[in-house]
Amino acid sequence: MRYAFYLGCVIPTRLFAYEASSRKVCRELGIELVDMEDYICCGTPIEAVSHRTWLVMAAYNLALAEKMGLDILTLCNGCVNSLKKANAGLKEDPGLRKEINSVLKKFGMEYRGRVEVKHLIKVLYEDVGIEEIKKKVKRPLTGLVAASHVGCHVLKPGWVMQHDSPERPKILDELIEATGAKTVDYPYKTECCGQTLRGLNDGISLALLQKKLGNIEDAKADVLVTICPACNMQFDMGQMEIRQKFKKNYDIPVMHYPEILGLAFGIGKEDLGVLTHKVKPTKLMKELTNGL
Amino acid sequence: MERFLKEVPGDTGINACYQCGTCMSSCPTAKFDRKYRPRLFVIKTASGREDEVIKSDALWSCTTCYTCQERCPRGIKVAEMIMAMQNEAARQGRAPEKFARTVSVLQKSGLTSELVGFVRKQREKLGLDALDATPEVRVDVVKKIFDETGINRLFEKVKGRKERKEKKENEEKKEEGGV
Ligand code: SF4
Ligand code: SF4
Repeated sequence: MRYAFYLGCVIPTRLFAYEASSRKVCRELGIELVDMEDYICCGTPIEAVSHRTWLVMAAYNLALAEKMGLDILTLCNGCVNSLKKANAGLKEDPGLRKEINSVLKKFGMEYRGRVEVKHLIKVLYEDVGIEEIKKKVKRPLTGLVAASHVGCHVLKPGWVMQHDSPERPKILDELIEATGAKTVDYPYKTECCGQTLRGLNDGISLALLQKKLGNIEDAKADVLVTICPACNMQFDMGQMEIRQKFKKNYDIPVMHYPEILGLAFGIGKEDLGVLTHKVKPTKLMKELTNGL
Repeated sequence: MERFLKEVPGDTGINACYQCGTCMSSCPTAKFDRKYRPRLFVIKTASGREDEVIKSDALWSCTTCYTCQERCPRGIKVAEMIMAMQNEAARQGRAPEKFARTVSVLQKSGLTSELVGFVRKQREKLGLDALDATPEVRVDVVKKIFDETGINRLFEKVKGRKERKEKKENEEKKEEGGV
């Protein structure tokens, strides 16, 4: 289990708890992460305005991993979506590949379609497996009730992503349950969190967010578990915004999956960066440690 | 139409649409904005009225969640069609401000988010490597890709459109003032 580690933009610069917890749980599980030096943004943020620019940016990163001779592991739904879509599009169209390679040549790079791209969650589920993960659990999170938000871009378009069922995803919930926690369903579970509409249509972005938070609150979840930096920021920082604007306080901690996995492995909360979130999981941490 | 749909890998086959509305009833944006209708985006585009879609503000309220596309019983790549329309709108100088900001940050750091001092300390605390604060290779690569693919030209057009619009408005104001 050796992967080229593609961190993307937001995780190393803002959501370092996601990076730290991922590195630490991967180490425990024997997944070797080889950092990609000088990678660039995956292109997703500008895909809507320039398909061509997006494709070259994604292909550049794929070509970097090809040079390393390793498949890519990412932590971000946007990155995995971008890189997998580009990979699929370029593999099926030799003409397009030639055009894109004429740009990559300027950097001494070439895309050949030799690597695959996986989200961390898929690696945990397929390469490691639920049973192996359970064996490493030293401090089961018994009593914890978690709601999950898988997010859109790791699931869809389904024919490219091949990650999990787009309508009824189960991988993340199974991984959460492997820690000893319980999962709850809630209406709108597979609905978009609204993050992509930030700066384009903030009204709808917030409406979507509130709809989901309300349902998660009703489901009496102690924590919301995400696997994407964009979704995580929308839910975590979004709660601050809603508190200010609408005087509504949901107070639902939002954690990256590897953080809760790390806690179950017995890794300290400081080492995982659990307290760097905006909505502090203080109460949750107390309950968990009392249960020891 | 052909000219930009070709950019989407695979065939979008929008003519197969039978207007069932599944895309619309699946759409998160449509749940909150009744004027947002992906079904109409498709029929307008299929019937040669794509200009109405390209020029509408609604075009930019798509979350890119892909649900419409996933559920379309006719296998139409609705979300990818919408993105192709956004690309065309951008070519016409209609890209929202957000994208100009993103492009400018990308040219500064090669990523969409820059490293600040506070984060550097936090990273250290968590035992993470220091990030390269002057990522010259990254910046250089992104700039070259932008030059080669001409993304900056899109925003010159946005500026041009804005200036023309303001000029027109000013002239109209002057005329009104003169009466
Ligand atoms: S779901 Fe497909 S067939 Fe039905 S209206 Fe939408 S695009 Fe047309
Ligand atoms: S991709 Fe866009 S149009 Fe399609 S369902 Fe999602 S928000 Fe609606």
